Amino acid sequence: MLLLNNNYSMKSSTFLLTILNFSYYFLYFIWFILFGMLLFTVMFDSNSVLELFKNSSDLKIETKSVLITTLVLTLISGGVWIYILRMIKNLVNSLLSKKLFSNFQIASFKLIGQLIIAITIFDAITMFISRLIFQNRLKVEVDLFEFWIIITIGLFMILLSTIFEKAKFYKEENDLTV
Amino acid sequence: MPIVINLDQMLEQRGMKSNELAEIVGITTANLSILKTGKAKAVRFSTLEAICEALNCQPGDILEFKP
Repeated sequence: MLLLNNNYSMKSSTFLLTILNFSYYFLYFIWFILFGMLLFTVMFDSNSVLELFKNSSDLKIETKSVLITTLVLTLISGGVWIYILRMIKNLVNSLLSKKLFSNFQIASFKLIGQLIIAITIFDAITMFISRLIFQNRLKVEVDLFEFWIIITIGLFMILLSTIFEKAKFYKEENDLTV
Repeated sequence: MPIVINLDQMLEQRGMKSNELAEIVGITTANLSILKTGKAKAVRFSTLEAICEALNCQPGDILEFKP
């Protein structure tokens, strides 16, 4: 039974690492495509890029300035998300190694949580300001429920960091009990 | 910490080596070293009992309070 459980947890952790790795490189790829799109818009022709968004129902961009602003904001936000994903990847690797409750894990949980909250608030504020400035030239469908879920995940990460800090103390006490 | 472990003294008096004591008590030499150097945060009653039995002494002979 224990062997089965161990096997199951090994499989799930390998699966988790695969998903994280895939998401990380996929997001990296998308980020570079968007960066290329921004360069193309600024240096060459913005109309062909604008054509892409004409028939979209979720995101409608109608002018070059709106397109550039949206791309820059998406690149900033995307860059931070890539960094967060990279940190999660390193954190999971560290959690799967033998040493648990290390300072690195505590600091990572805290930083990931803070970054998730900060970037979500940044996204919400920039979206709100963009809507005010660009009015009819930019139409984005935003789900408020998603916003709260992501904020909750960030807060949960910070809570995990506090729990790990306490666990580190208990582990040290246990290790130093002869 | 104001609690001092006099294990070295007791071992010397009885002509016993640290690894011998560790083997009799059933703890690792690393843990015995933690105890001797005063890094330990707690001692189990079972460990204390085994040390007292091995060294034929009282807990007060091993532990000393120095404020």
